[in-house]
Amino acid sequence: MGGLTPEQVERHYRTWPPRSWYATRRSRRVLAGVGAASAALGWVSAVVCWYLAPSSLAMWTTFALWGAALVIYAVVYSALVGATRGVIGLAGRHLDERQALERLRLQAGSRRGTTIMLCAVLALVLLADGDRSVVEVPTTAIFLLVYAMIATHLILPSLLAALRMPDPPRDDDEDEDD
Amino acid sequence: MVATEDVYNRISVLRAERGVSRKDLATALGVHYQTVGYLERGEYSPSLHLALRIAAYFEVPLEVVFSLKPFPRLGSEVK
Repeated sequence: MGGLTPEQVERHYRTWPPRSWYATRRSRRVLAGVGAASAALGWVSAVVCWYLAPSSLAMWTTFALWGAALVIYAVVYSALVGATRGVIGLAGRHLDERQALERLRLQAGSRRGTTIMLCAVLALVLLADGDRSVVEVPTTAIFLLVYAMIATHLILPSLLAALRMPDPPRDDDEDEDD
Repeated sequence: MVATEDVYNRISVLRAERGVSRKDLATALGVHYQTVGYLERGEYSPSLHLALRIAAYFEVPLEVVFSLKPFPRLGSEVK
């Protein structure tokens, strides 16, 4: 994930996002919550298709939910690249030892998260199955369910970064302003 | 399980004394300037390699920059 250079991060994320978006633990939790909500929209679309597909309502609902999810997550991801100054987003070869260690921790944590998610999906499938040996599910719902799982797996490291990131130190030029 | 022993340092004192900005120090060490900030706040303990390079940059022995015990406050030894 990601392939930015340090110069690109400094150029594009020097003033974005506003410091108030990530300066406190509370604001970072809000950021992670918004990102998680964008992932949840994908899951909602799978549930909608489970019950309503095939229908035009299911199709348009899916487009709307995934469109909203993409826009929301693009903003959250962009904010997290700026907030972490590249721990999220920088190409691996540009990370220093702290950033590389932090990224490894995020990947380890998100792996645990993905395992929990897969177990939860397995439990849901078992519950949906019940006593029946055959369950009819629209193909679209299966596709969107897998898609939501992949999307969640991909964005978990960035959400964890928002939750685990300590308060960022002030930049030198900000110190001079004080 | 990762050990969480505290490592104290005097990077900010040395940096202020030498008039070196965080960015200049970070550039010299090849790390991100936020990493210097986290080091100064004691929220990140450097690798031995980075610690040695920090000491070399300030041209002081390693134990002048890093310690397993808190450094005495400046002036506390003056009677």
